Amino acid sequence: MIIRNALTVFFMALGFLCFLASAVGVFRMKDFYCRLHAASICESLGLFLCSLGLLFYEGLDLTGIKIFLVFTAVFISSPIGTHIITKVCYKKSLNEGEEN
Amino acid sequence: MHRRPTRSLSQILISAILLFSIWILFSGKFEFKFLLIGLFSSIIISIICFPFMLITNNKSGKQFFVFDFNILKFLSYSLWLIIEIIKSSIDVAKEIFKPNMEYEPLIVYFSMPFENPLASVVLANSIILTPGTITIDVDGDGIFEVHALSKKFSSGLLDGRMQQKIAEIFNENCQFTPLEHMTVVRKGVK
Repeated sequence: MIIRNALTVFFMALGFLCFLASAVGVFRMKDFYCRLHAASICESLGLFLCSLGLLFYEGLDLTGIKIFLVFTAVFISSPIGTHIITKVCYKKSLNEGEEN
Repeated sequence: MHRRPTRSLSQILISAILLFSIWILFSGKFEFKFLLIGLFSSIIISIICFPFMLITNNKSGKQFFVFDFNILKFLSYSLWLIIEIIKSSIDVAKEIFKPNMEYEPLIVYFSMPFENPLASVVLANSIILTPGTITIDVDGDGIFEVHALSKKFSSGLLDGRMQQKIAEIFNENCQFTPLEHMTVVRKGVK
């Protein structure tokens, strides 16, 4: 039980570090697309590590498999939002004939 | 459209089994009554929804079933993708915490025509999931337009390993060609 809790804390802390890195990156990067690159750390690796920590906490029962399903659903669908935002911004910048 | 009946029957069966396992997962009850209700509703839903499970290639008009891919190869590909995500996340985080930022974002193009439209979706999704690269657009001829944070991330994409693996999942031959003459370096952006 202690080992399981320790693993949970370890993975959740790593996940929170990823969220911190992407929050800093969103403020520091220089243009819109680079900020999206920074934000994509939290939506891929941060999500993965946090759900891994929750999975260790819960164990492999029905709730654990549900956590895994939620993880896969977000993992598949979150890139679509990123893609739509990028595409709209890029097409708009092409139409206006200017960079960014 | 000509359709083979035995094949569509097995495809209906696959989606019914998937729906039934999800029913068991979400209900968490193993009494006979609930299992029977779940079995019947999953079979009926998979028969009604069968036309929506077929994806049509707009050019050749060929139809593909959604779950028609190599599952073992897909699992090993997802493990490989997670390792790639960890590697490139560390690279992007290093770039973020550098005191002086000296990266040059660029847009690269490559051509990877797939027969199955789902394969292009999987490729575009995994490019966006890997931090440091974002798919801007995919057109009908299979030309991908990718924004990369710096040369390091785009070179990892243009060596063609990810494309090769996805072509193996969907049993297609890999016709990957990087279009280097179209690369745009976005210097001097605010």
